[in-house]
This record gives sequence, C-alpha cells and structure tokens, in this order.
Amino acid sequence: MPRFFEVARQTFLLQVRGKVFLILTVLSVLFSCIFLVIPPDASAVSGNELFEMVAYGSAFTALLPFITLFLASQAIGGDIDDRTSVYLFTRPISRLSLLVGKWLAVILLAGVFVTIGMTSLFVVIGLGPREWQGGAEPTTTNYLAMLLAGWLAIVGYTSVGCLFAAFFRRPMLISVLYIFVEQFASRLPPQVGIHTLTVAFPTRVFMYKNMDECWELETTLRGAMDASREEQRMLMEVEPLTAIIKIMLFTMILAGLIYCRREYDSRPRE
Amino acid sequence: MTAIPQGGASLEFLLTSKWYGQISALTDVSVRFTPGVTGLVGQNGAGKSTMMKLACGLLRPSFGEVFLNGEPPTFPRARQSLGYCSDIDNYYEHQSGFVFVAWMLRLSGASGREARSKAGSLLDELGLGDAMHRKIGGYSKGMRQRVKLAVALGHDPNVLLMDEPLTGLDPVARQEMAELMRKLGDAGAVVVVSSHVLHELQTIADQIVLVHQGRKLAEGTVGEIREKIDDRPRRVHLATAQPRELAARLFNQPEITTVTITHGGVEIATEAGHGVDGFLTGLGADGLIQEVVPLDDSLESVFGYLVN
Repeated sequence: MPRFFEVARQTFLLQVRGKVFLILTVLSVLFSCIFLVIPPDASAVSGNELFEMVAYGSAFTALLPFITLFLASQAIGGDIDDRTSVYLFTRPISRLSLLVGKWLAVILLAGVFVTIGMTSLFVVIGLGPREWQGGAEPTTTNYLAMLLAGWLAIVGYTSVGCLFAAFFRRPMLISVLYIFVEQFASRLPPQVGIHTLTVAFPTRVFMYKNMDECWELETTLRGAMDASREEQRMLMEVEPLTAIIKIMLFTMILAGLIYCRREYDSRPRE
Repeated sequence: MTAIPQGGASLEFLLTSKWYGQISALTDVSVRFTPGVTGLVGQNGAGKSTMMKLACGLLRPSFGEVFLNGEPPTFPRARQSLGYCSDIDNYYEHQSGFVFVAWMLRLSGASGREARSKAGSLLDELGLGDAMHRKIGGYSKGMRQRVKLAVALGHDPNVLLMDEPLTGLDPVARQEMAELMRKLGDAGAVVVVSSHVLHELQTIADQIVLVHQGRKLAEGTVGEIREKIDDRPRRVHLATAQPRELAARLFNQPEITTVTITHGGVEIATEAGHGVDGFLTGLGADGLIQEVVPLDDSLESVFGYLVN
C-alpha cells in the first residue's frame, strides 16, 4: 500500500478524534433540526425548495468552503505550526506523498461532514409535518445532486486550502479572505472571465444542470450568476468537472512545489 | 533495544553554511562524523541544532553540502537509515504512544503487522509497556522522551542524531540511554549527540565537535583538543605520600608557576605552552608521584578555554 495512504489514514483518524470535528458534526445535525422547532411559512416554500435553499445558501456559500479550508489548514498548517511536522519530515517518505496523503484525508473528512449535514437536512425536512412541506418533499435526485456538488466543491476547496497551508504562515486568515473574494468573483459579470477560476461557480453550474426543476433555486442561481440569457447560455457551457480538475491540478502542483521546498521553522508563533 | 546498524554509515558536512535571512547560523563547517559516538558541543545559538536539522534534511544548506550515507538528506532514500530524536516536545496528543510509534514505523516502510509488533516491543523495552495504549497527552516528560527515542530507533538506523536526548529522563534511564548510545556506536552506527550536560556527554562520546558562533572550533577527543590549546596554563594534581618533598622539587622548575600542597598531594600550574611531562615522569620513576590527574582536561574546562 502506498505510504501516502497511511498518512491519509492517520490524519483522518487524528482529525476525527479531535473535538473540532465532533463539534462541527453535532452542530450541523442540530442546525437541520431547527426546522422541526421553527417551521417555515408553508405557503411560501415547499419542502423541496426549502432543502435546496438551505443546503445551497448555508453550505455552499459559507459553511462548506470555510470548514474545508479550516480542515486543510489544520491538517497541513497545523503540523508546521505545532512543529509535529518534524516527525513526518524526517521519515523516508517524500513531502509530496505527505501532502497528497493529507489532501486525501481532508477530502474524506469534509466529505463525511457534508454527507452527515446534507443527509440530516434531507431527512429532517422529509420527515417534517406535511403542512409545511407545501406538498413537495425533497427529492432523492436533488439530494444526490447536492451531495455530489458538495463533494466536487470539497475537492476544489481542499486543493486551495493545501496551497494556502503550504505557503502562508497564517492560512486560516488567508482562507477567510479568500472565501469573501471568491464569492464576490463568482458573481461578477461573465465578461470579466474569471468564473471558472473559482470553485463556487462550477459547483453552481453542476447543481443547475443536475437538479430537478426548482424555480426558487434557479432564480437564486441565475441571480448569483448575474448574467443575461445569452451570457447564461455561454456560462452553462462550462464543464464543472473539468473546471474543478483544472483548479485542483494547478493548486496542488503549486502546493507540492512549495511544500517540498519548505524548510522546517522552529521559531514559536505568536 | 534491537537497533542493528547497517554498514557504511557516514555523515559529512562540506563547507556548509546556513543563513536565516541576514543572520548566519553556520559558516563553512566541514566535519565528517564517523562510526562511534560524537558529542556536539556548543552554547545556545552556536549552531548545534542547525547542524542537526541540516543533517536530517529539515533544512537545506545555503552554501556547501551535507551528505548522509553519501546522499543529500533531503532525499527520502537517504533518510531510510536516519534516526532523529529532536529537541521538541510536541506530539499528536490524541494518539497513544503505541499508535504514534507504529505509524512512524509504517512511514519508514514496515508492514502494518511488523510496525505494530515492533512498536509494542520497543515501547515495552523502554519501560512504557503499561502506558503505551494511553494518549500521549497524559504522558510525563520522561515518557514522552521515551516515545521519541522509540521513533528514532525503531527502524534500525545507522545514523542517529540525538538533540538533548537525556532531557527528562531519570538517572537510571539516563544510564541506560548512555549505554545504548555507546552500544550503537560500538556496533558501527554514527551517533551524534548534543547535550548541555557536558560531564555526561564526556562519558558517552568518543569524539567531540565543538561549535561556537556558527563555526567549528575543534574536533577530536577531549584530550586531543586540550593538547592543542597551548596558550592556557595547565593544572595538574599529583598524588603523593610525600607532598612537602615533592613540592620542594617542583619549586625548582621554572615552567611551574604555582605549587599548592593539598589533601593527598600537590597541585601545580604550568606556564602556557610548556609541558612538564618529562620532568614528572622522572619524579614518578623516583617513586615520588603515584598518580597524575589533569584538572583541566574535562570537557567543561576545554570548552570554557576555547569559547572564552
């Protein structure tokens, strides 16, 4: 078995056993349960729309990028920060294997988290009282499309997080700035031409292409794209998977080059 | 302990310099560490830890080269035969000692079964048999130090770098550790030990490398280094049953600057750059001297002379 699998396995276990992962998971489940306690206006929104709006609005615009970037910062930057990287860097294993192992672990971790969060939301809304489902329960197609979009976004954000953790001394600060800039950039007019450089835009296109018709979400997505019909048609030609793979390759090659050349820094950080 | 060093161990610095920005941490250091135990001695900030980190590939030289078994230590293959016991005390606190050591062994190429078996036996030998499945976060300083040693020794390295390895160990464990280092050195491993406890280091190390302000000051045995220091007076204790008679004979020697009668003998100081070995040999032959004990041949004295 390649050694990076062992790095991935132990990194995954270390993070899962940590308090942060447990807290995040419990919070995501509790967040879903809010809709049982405070039912939304039944006339305004159906169960299907509610699921999509909450999943898209909460997860894809803020929570998912933040959590993924945080986990990447912890897994890669955390080692460098608390100097436990000494143990890994002096083993007969290449830095690239270490980076790929940690990248894989973060994808799995964030994926587990998103799956738990998305599933609990789907189940809670699906099981909710009929009167506030508006006659339409969330569909399995939409659930799976959201879930796959989540995993796609995770691959992109993890790669970006690896680059930040390998390059910056304070990757989390940069990550927070990045989330704001990225969300802004993904909403710029298509003429600017930087949509496909973001993780958010290809993810939205993936959702748009793969979900059942849902007027509320479509409106939101179109609004987020902020484009005319012709421009939207052009934007829809974007292949989400290819765009994310390009981002992943670019950021991971850069992260690998930096991480492999990075020297151990024994200075304590403030 | 089961470390079995492989043959051909070597660690070499060739005109190695290391700069941290504008600050020079190491300047043109050339030294070849041969099989046996070598003590790396220097004050804080002298460059010891920088040398250690260059030797295990954590840092890259700004100029010059470092070779670990003939290859740059930044190559993963070169680190296959490297054991490094760092001076940091940080761990993945949620992991047990057993899981951590087994993981490190897995990353060194051991199979899962081998790694678990070896981790268990190593930790058992190091006295962590009962605690190995507890979280490292709950370990005492001594226990944490043992985990570090298990990680450094587990894959049978032939070059062992130990940065302050005796810190946190109780006297019995220190003794055992010293014996282990000597055993590894005798078996052909290159063992480089840095320590602030100079008298302890003197008993472990065959050779000493003295570094000061990023430069190599001297290398060799303590005696050899002391011999080279000509500009310092030498102090010697002469054990004798006839101290007054001996003192009278010594007063006549122009090279001897002070003579003090002490309990059980006479203490003398000679002028810098002058030896009185021949004269003392004659007195010994006359039966006046039973033993000659150099008072400034300790590592501490030699280090003090060189640095000051």
